[in-house]
Amino acid sequence: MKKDKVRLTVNGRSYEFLSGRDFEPGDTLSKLLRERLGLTGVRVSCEQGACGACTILMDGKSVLSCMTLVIEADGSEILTIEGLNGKDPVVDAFVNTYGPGEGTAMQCGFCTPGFVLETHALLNENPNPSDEEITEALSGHICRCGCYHGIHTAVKKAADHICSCEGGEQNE
Amino acid sequence: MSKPDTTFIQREGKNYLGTYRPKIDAKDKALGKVQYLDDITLKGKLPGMLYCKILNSPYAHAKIVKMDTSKAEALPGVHAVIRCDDPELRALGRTTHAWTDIAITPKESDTIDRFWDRVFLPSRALWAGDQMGVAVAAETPEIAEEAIKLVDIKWEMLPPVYEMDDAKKPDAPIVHTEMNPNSNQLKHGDDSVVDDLVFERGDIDKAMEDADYIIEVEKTFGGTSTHGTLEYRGCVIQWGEDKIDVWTNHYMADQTRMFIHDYTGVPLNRVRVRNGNSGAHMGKWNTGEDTFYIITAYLSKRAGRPVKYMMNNHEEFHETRSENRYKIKAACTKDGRVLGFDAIAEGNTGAYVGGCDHNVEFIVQETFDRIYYPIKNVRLHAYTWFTNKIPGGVVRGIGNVQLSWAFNPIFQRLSDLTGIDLLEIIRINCGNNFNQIGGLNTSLDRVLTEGARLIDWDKKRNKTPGGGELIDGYKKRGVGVGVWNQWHAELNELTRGYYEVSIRLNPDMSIIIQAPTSETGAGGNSAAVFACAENLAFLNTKPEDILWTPLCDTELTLRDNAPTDSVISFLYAEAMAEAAVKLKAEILRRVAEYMEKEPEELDIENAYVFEKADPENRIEVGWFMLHTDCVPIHIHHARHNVNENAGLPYGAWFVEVEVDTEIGTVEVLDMAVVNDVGCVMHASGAESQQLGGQALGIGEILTEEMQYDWETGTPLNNNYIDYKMLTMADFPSVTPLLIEEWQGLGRYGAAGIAEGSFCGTGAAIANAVYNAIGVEIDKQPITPKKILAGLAKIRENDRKEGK
Repeated sequence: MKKDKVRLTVNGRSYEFLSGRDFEPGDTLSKLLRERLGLTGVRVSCEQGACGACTILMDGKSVLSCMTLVIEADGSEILTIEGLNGKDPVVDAFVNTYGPGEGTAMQCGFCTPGFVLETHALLNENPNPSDEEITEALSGHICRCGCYHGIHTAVKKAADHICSCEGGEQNE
Repeated sequence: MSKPDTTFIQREGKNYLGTYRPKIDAKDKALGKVQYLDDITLKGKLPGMLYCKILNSPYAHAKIVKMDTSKAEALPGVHAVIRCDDPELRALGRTTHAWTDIAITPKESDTIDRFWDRVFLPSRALWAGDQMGVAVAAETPEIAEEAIKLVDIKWEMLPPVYEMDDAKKPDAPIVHTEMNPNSNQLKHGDDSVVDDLVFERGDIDKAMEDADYIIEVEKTFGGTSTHGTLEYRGCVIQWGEDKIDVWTNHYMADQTRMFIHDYTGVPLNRVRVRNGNSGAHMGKWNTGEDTFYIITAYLSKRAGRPVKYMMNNHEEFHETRSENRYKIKAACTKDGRVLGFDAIAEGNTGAYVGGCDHNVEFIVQETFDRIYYPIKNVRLHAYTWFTNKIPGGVVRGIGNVQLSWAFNPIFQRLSDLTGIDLLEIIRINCGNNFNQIGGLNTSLDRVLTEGARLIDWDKKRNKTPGGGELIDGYKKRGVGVGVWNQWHAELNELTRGYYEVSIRLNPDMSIIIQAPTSETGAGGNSAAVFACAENLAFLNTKPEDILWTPLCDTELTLRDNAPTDSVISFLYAEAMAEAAVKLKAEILRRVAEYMEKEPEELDIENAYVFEKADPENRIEVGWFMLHTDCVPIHIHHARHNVNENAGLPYGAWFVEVEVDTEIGTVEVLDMAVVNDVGCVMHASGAESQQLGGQALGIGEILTEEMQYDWETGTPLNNNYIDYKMLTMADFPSVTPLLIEEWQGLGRYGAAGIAEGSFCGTGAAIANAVYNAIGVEIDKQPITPKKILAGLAKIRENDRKEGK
């Protein structure tokens, strides 16, 4: 696959990137997003698809941006963590998981954007996941601080919030 | 099944400290706004930046005889090549990686033994992966990597040695001839007994004579697991004409500054080191600065450009938890007492010293007084051996994890021999001489009692090992326990010296604090903010009014304090409490001048300064500041720890496991983690440590295991796919419980939680496996192969006995 030009929508803004000027043919999407656009919430760690830190959403589905070439993403709509804000229900749930027995949904915070975006991908497809479905969806991510309990709790809270909002709209 | 309510209850009610609330940086972390080394050093931010690559030895033990770097030097995009025969590097002499976290400088301070076993870019490789031979700086990481491949090297292969029993043999190849030309044993120059650490108390020979039973165990832990953090070690260094600028994710900027000063001769005020957030720590920074800092610095000097060095996924497997083996004889009585320990501790430190030696030394420091104080007779011999394996280093829970694994099983054996419940045996023999009621340590008693309740010990514990029912025809369950002391209180961290904080009160009553520390996830920043708000109650300050500045900068900020030993939260809380007193005094002094009163005549409440004799005569602090000079009030405070011993509290780890007797797998079904920390700084953060620590704790015991090709000494699974760390799918149900029973020194009197959050986990899992199937595993990790071998042995014995 060879492409001279790649068009992307990143966090709602349209871009056109030229091969040789903005990226090299072998460049990964994570490199472009971080170094060309300065989106450093895209975390790169293992570069072998083991840790999930570099997860972004491509057309609503989770993708490992360090395992995806820029040219493979042509024409797609990309969401990175920078495309969310503090009102986002998933972000809010990750922040506000701190109650007795919950621990927290992050410690060092390096892996957190990947988990947040994976949660979005899950809830896009399945707004009311079971405990097992949450675990299965998020098990491609490593949190070495081990906040799995807090993260699981946060995903449930986010799902509950989204479900209650959707339910509310239906009632209206 | 619903979980029991384990909501933490404070001994002394507080508004912010010790409560459940979000981390101060939770939103920034969830939104990816927190920046790590790679983020603050994007090439666009540092134009002209080059990338460093250092040769990793492909051989476990080999020497460079001849090296041709001409092709690498000629490769377009290569700006500098530095070789092992470089006169400037060789003139730097030797360096050390021995534990420097609070000792600060390798050359000047001597708070611990130094072992000068390293050089910058050696010509002899001591393990397969050793950074040696040659390093380059090039315009892209790819060019740098290509340049290293173009270096033509003629090697002389040397015989390797991997295991400590082989390293001891008289004809063994010597790993560090410069350290000890005749043996692989690490020399302790200042010991009373050459080449050996010895500790003795009481009369162990008499204890053995008096014993009803002598229990012998041989336990090994380590050499198999590593930190596994997602952010890798690195730095960017720009050595300009009269200044060195450094950006790093090292956990202590000031220590890095001292290290670079030591090996460049550049004055301290001309070495500027900036760090900030760290993508987890797990102990990897506790050993001194890696040699890559100096190699990168000299490449920058040669190239005249900033140079970036970052480890990759494979290079991060740079150290393992040190491999330690303990042979312990315990003199015991029929009434369940341990009269004494006679122990030999040995460490395989791999190619370099990085903490292993301290692990064996730790037996004295961390064990005999802190948890086995009632056991009066002790003899210990400790040895450390060099081999050609990955260096042993500091991994979270250093030494204590290994010691807990080795010593806890003795109490199980004694329980089996005497018929006395294991928890009772622990109560009789463990503890220190603080928090005592009669012969009982109340901290230890409480964590055991609470943990047993949470795991349902009386009901679930098999009365005889392996005596439980068979589930589905092939599974068996068991419950186990491990106990250990909590990690470090005031006295244990005395060598930090003075540490500083500042509070800046702005005219609008908002506050900026400096409590500089690299935020590794341990949450020292949150605790500092909560402590500040707690102690500024007289100004009605809330945590959200306070800004904690996240960057450590040796030029602009106060000296930072290493977030190690999980003490940073309470050390900064103690300092904040004292700084708040100073701030109050300064406000009173200034307002008294304005009111033409003496400060002693005034007090502050609800952000008003008032006259004690006439409370109606009052001035709002914010009004005063805005309407006088609008100058912030800035308080600097330095303190050091209380130099008195108050002992340490305890933690208990209870585990329920299910063992598959057909394929040998072990699953942790449930855990209760109970920690007495004296005073909780942040309940959510502390419980997060109790929960999260188990991911590493369980991983090391059940899934994480470095594999080597022993023909070449090459690590085979040094990457994050083949080295299996726990994910959400593997994480069990864990119930955390925090307790404030023990009281330490200082305003709050706390002990740490994060570093020691899984010190008893391994011992508890091993104990639970034993309770489930009657198999005692001696060497970590617990693998299906070992389980099945143990079960086969039991069947063989049963057959012999005609069962």
